Order: sequence, then C-alpha cells, then structure tokens
Amino acid sequence: MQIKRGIAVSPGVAIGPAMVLGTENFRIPLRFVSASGIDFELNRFHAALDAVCEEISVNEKLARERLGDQYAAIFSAHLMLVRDPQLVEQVETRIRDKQSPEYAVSQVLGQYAKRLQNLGGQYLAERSDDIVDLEKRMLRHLLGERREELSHLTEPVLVLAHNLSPSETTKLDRKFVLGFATEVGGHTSHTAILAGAMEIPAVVGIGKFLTDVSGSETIIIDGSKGVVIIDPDEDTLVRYRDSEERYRSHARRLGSLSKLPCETQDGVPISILGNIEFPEEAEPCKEKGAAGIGLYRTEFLYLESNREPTEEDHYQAYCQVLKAFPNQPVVIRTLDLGSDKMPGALRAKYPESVNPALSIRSIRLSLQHLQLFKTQLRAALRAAEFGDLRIMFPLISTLLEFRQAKMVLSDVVEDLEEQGIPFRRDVPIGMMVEVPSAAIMAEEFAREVSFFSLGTNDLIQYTLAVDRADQAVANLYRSGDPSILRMIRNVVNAAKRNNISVSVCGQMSSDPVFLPLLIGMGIRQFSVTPHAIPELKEVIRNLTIEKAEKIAARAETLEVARDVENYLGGELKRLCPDLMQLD
Amino acid sequence: MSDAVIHRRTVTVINDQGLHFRPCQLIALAAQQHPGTVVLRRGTTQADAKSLLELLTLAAERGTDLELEATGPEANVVVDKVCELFSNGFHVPPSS
Repeated sequence: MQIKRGIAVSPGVAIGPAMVLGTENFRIPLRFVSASGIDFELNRFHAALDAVCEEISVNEKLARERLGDQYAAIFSAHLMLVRDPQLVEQVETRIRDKQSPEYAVSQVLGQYAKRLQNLGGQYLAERSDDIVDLEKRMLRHLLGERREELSHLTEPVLVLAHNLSPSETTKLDRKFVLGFATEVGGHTSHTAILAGAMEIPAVVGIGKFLTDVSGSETIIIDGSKGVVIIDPDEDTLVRYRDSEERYRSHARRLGSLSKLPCETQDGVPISILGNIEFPEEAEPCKEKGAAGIGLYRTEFLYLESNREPTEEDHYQAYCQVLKAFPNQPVVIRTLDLGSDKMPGALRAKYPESVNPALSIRSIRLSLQHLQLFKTQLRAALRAAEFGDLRIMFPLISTLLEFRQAKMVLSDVVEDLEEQGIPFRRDVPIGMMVEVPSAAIMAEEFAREVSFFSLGTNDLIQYTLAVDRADQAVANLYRSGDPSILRMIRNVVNAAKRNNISVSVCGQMSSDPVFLPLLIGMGIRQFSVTPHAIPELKEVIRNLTIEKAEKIAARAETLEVARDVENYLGGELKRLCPDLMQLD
Repeated sequence: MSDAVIHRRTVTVINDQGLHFRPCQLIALAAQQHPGTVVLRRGTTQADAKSLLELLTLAAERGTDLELEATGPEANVVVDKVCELFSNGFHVPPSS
C-alpha cells in the first residue's frame, strides 16, 4: 500500500482499478491494466506494426510512381525497420513483463535513437530522426486506439495521468470514470474546476507517482482529502468503502437542501451564486440552488476555436445563460486571458512571457486590443435586455485602468445608440478585486464602481507571491493568511461605507471552512463552484450572524495562517458535525 | 550440435558511404535468411546482423574492420554471402 498526497479539487471517494495514461507528449501508459492481459497487448502491438507497414507501403508506392525506384528505396528501409527482429523481440519481452506496448515501443526505439544520436555525424543523426519518426507512428496507432478506449469504456476505472486537458476532462464518461488523479495541476486549474462541476472525485498536483503504479492495481481516490492510495490493504479498503457509502448518503441529504431558503438561523438571507465557464453549466447550476451567476468566465469562447469569437458568438452564449436565470443576476467577466493562454489571433504578437502572471493579461490585454474588447462589450450590452446582466472587469490594478475600461464602454454605448441597436443602458459595472493595489485602494475604487467581487485566487497569489500550481511552493499558498484577511476587511469596509455590494468569487468562498469568517466580516454574497452550493447552504443554515461575527473577530486577531485555519476548522466542526463526518 | 560450430571472418568496409541504410539493409536481408545467429562486431560493440537498427549503431565507415560471426547449420553459407556484400562494396543488381 502506498499513499500519495496531492491537492483535493473535487470531493468524494472513488475506489476501482487504475487506468494509467502516460507522461510524455504522447500519453504513454507505463503498464497495462486490462484484464485480458498479455496476449491482448501483444496483439495490439502487432496490429500497430501492421498498420505502420501499411502506411509506409502506401508511401513507398506513391514515391515509386512519382519519383522513381531510387526514392522508394528509403521507404523499403523504413519497412525493414518496422519489421526489425530486435525491435519486435525486445518489445515483446517487455510486454510479457507487463509493460504497455506504448511504453515498450517508446523505450526500445528511444534507446536506439539515442545511441545513434550519440555516435555523432549527421548521417546517423538523421537516421536517429527516422527512428523517432517511426516511434511516433507506432504511438499514434497504439494510442489512437487507447484514446478510443477512454471514450468507450465498458467497466469502471480511475484515470491516472500526468495531466488532463480541460477538453479531455469534459469528455470523460462519468458513468465509467469514477475519479481521476494527475501529477500536475492546482486548485485553480481548469481541469480541477471542471472535475468539481462534473462531480468526479479528483486529486491533482500529486507530483511524480505514475511510475509507482503497475498492473491492474486497486486505487482509492479521496477527493475530499487529496489523497490517492495505491494497492490499499484490507483495513483501508473497508474504511473507504464505508466512507464512499457515507459520502453518497451525505450527497443525497445535501441534495434535499436545494429547495430550502438560504439564510442564517436568525433569518438573514445570504446569496449564493454560481461560477461557470460554459453556458451549458447554467442550467445544472440552477438545479444546485444557485441564486444567479456571480462569475461567468468567458474565456472558453476564445479558447474553444482558433478564430476570434464574433459578437454573435458572445451574444448567443450570454443569452443562453440569461435564459436559465431570467430574473437573477448574471455577472459577466470580460476576457481574462494572459500570455500563457492567448486567444488565437494574438498568439503570434505576444510570445510566451517569462512571467505571465505579471505580464499582458486580462483587462490589460482588452485595453490594448479595443476591437476585441468592444466586440464583447457590445454583445453584453445587447444581451442585457433579457435579464439582470452585469459586467465585471478583471485584474483592475489602478483607478486609471478602470476609468479607461469604462470609457471604452461609453464608446460602445454611443456606437449602439447611433446604429439604433437595442441594448440596456443601466448595466451595473463592477470590478474584480484581485490585485493587492486594488484592495489597498478599495475606498477610492468604491466611489466609482457598482460592485466589488473579491477574486481570492489571484489576490492570494499576488499578496503572498505564490503560484499555487507550482509544486515547490504550493504549500505557501494559504487562504487563511492574516494579510489576506486584512485585505478582505479593507475591501468590505470600503464597500460598506460607499454602499456598494461586495461578493467573494474565488475558490476560498467555496470552502466551507472560510464561510463563517467571511459572513462574520460582513459579506452576504458569494459566488462558488456549483457543486459546493448545497454544502455551503448547510453551513449557513447552522449559523447565526452573531456567531459568525464572533468567529471573524477572533480569527482576525491570529497571527499566522496555520492558526487561523485550525481555528476555523474547529469552529466548523462544532457548527456542522455532519459535514466533517466525511473525514 | 551444429549450433556449436562458429564461423568467423573479418570483413572490411570498402564502399565510400560506409554502413549506411542500404548496406545495412542488404546485410540484414542476407542474415535473416539464416536460421542461426549472425553477429557483426566492431571492437566491443556487437550488432545482431539481422537487425537494421543494430547494424546502424556500428557506425562503420569506410576502412573499418568488422568481425563477422555466424552459428547454426550451414553458417558458412551466410558468412560467404555477407562477405561478398562487403567485398563488392554492396553493389548488387537492383532486381534483388
């Protein structure tokens, strides 16, 4: 039994056989896990060899017809490489040793390629490239099939991978993928967020661990604690089976909360809104009991296709969300991409920055590309006719920046007016408070904006100078750090004095541990990952404002993050013993 | 018993390009006809002569001496064939 720790991103417990996807550019599983075993994998290997031979034969024929025998000869050499007895023998030996054909092929050919490379000379270096090319062809065939397998699963598995892209995550078949765990990634990675939305137990950022998994071992993924257990012993298995069952009944009980009002024991209403990225999420988010959308991330419009989204693309997406929430707030955050993730058209203009978090991103990008920005604002103002749409600018760091963004909005209003296009004029304009400079200057900002939304993810990253996705420092990322509480306090006070609303939309607000504190500090509105809504509602319904204020007052006197978090954890346990029963 | 019989001969690369793709291919094709083992050695580096991949790793240029070794029934036949390839500089009629 081995225990691996990572970051808990999607709660729940899953138990089942491992399916390992590999670590390189190609996702190469190290070991195979299918019950059908060695013969099955040998057959896959030979089928891939045949397929590659077929490809090369076609190329050989084409070359012969078009270029002559001389050029065809190179392909016949390649054919011989594919049928090389050493290659076949070494790969077969490795497969008999339970290595996956993908891994075996890439190891064997990789070693030959490296040997040729090391011998020096251009000729052999080029032959080394030929071998690398052959390796790629083989992997394409082997993995093409494997990818299919992932979407055509017939029995439940836990997917273990170096990384899963957001699109791979959304394509996971929830019926058979019971949970997943990845080596990289952090709390705020899109993959983590999607896992939460899909309610698949998941742990990310474990660090290197795939090499420790072999055979068709049983794996436990504890998405609540961020633990992955490889080959658990009988006791552990029994314990987790039990908690898997408890988790299920807990989920059922929380589900029944969705119809009850979201208010404290002393009758103070708290609004919990949802964070979404795709318009398709709006409807399920409503089912979870969301009182609106507090953060609609519009980035997927830019990343999904290679072309820039048109005004109509934006408009349709916004209307779809408003349709699910016709009478409730829907807060649209304008483009929040950066130099690490750039919309297609701008990729060439901005080579990847050394320090993307401090570079051209978010509102800075919008203000440098007014056409891009105006397209989005036009669509938002037009869609606002159909509901309570609000616009929010991300990453505002100075007053000037906010004023510039508002000026662009005024231009758009004028344009729409001149063109006689229907739109709503009195759309509330707010900002994310996620840069320390903005939190410090909250008083001045509060005079000019309609609402604040505390983006704790970036606020913490910038305040503590920690990238949460970076394994080396992830443990320094602490939501409970007193500096963060002080920032929040400053923003809340400024909002109160200027009579504007303030909500929290970062991951911190989805964590029940921090909820009593934030309510005690005076926050009455939250925007959270939809799956967290029922749990947060349960906490709220067990809380009084007086109690929350006491908790906040005490927490704000503590000096280090650990003490704050321990204290809040203890208070939550007292408030909602059922909630913690899951641990 | 026949496995125990080892046929060994030294061959020299005389063609300009050395053991490039085409010569390696020809050697491997010849060696693959033989049921026993066929090995080419350059110093301490040894290559399975049936394997194009391994032959390439000999990186044998013009003038290199290699030791050819075959075992199994009629190992002398395959040794003769491979020697001939080396001695005529891998010039074979394209029909083969």
